[in-house]
Amino acid sequence: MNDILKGRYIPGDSFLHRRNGTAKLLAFFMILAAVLTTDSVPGYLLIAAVSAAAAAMSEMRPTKTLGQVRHLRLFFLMLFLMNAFFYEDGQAGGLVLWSWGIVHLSVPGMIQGTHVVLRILFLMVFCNVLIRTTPPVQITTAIETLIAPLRLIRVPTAEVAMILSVALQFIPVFAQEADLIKKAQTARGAKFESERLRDRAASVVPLLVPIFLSAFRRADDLATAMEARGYGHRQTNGRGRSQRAAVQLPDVCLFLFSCLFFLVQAAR
Amino acid sequence: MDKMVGGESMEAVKGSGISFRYEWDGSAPFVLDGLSIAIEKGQFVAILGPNGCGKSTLAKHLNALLPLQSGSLTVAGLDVREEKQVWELRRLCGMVFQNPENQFVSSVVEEDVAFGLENYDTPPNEIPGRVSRALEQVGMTGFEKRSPHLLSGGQKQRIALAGVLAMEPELIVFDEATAMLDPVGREEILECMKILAQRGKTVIMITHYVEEAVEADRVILMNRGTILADGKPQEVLTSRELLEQCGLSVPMPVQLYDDLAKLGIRLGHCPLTKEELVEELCQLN
Repeated sequence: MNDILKGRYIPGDSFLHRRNGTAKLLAFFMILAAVLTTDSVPGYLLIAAVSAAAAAMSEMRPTKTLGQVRHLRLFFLMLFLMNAFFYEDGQAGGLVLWSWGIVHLSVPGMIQGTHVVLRILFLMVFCNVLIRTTPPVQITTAIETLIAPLRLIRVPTAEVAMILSVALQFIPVFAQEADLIKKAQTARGAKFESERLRDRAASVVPLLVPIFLSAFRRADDLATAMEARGYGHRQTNGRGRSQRAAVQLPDVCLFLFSCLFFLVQAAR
Repeated sequence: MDKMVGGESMEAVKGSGISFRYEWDGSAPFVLDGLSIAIEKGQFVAILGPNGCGKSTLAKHLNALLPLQSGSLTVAGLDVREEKQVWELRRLCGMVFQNPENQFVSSVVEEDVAFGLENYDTPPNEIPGRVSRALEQVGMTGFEKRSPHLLSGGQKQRIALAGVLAMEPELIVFDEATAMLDPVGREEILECMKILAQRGKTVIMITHYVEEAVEADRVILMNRGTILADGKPQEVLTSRELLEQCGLSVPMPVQLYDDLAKLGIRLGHCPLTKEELVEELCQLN
């Protein structure tokens, strides 16, 4: 439960905290593109330097930017192994170290696996920096701004942004609830900690039903509370205006820098 | 619209012949059964009753969350049937619900408090001032940037109340707002209600706790969709017969007063709160 809370917005007054949400989101997309096009050691070093700079600008300790990465070590290991053993180039000329049926442990596979793991790792770092320095309402406002042109084809952009915002902020509530239900069911003999996969899978079902029921009840309550506070009065575009930072020169610089970063990485 | 609100009457709520059932096919029982009610501006009223007596249903009629099926109801000078006035009605009649967690739309306190203001297109430069004034009124200044989910129950409910106060309503309905709180949280919310009442707001507290109803200026006792008794706490809450008819018990001091009377010990007058009880007991000798 606390782990989930760790990945959330942390109030502060750092350089990145003060930046406009839309500028940050756009810069994030450019950096994302830059990370995905990287495939060389100098490229990764440059990304590491940029992520260190992002950590400094958000006044976070570099280790903090990794967030919940350690919980995903098994996922990263699987990702690496899948690539190492099943990468197709292994069959086409690359150095194959070991072969058995359709499984080939190849050097190009291992390199590809390293690329995939490193890219996802860096994406998580930048994603963490964005989430920790930007209040959810600013992220949704930014999304709303970016999808605003869709209003021309009658997409309810403000509602989409609202749904995203509410969904985001209910994650810890459900995490807490799941934890509570889990404890209540453990007390009555459910085997969540069992070594046997079958037992563990079977124990998830009785957890899902109460969580879904509670989600519907909460949704109903929230809808009533929102209506009581005037939601639906008229289309409210641009929620969070009172806290939204105006676009300033550093915001433009941040975006331009991320574009430059992408171009450098793509040209490599 | 405001002129109309200010000018006409001294009544914040005036309703008569209100009936309601959740399924309008004639088979469901009446949750509200021809109920009539009048609450003056600035009153602090407790609507007390057991679960299922219709008190929350009545509360949801006050800001048109439920449609009026029969009878008439005017709140803050506005007819709840008038669809055009529904949003103004919800601004003037704020509501705090039972579970504070299910009322938050944002994970930052100040953004949540500003939610209602944004719905009513309040100019952006006015919002921060109104948000901080609302937080000050509930004693939560300094919590602007915090996440509501990490606060205590009472603090969460005070944030929800700040969200309502920011809209500057005339009357505030607390729909069992203390039911999910610990004793400290309940005390905090009751204190807020008292302060609001002192500042001239009309406060309507929906509750099934007899001890809470003691704090109000007037108690309306409801049972099976009708009003069973209406009067000062001293009149309603000391009547064992009335309360037991609704499945409620008299407050502890009243219970003790009766028990002492049976033993032949007469107190000066029937106390409602523990403080009054102590005072009466001290005067015995």
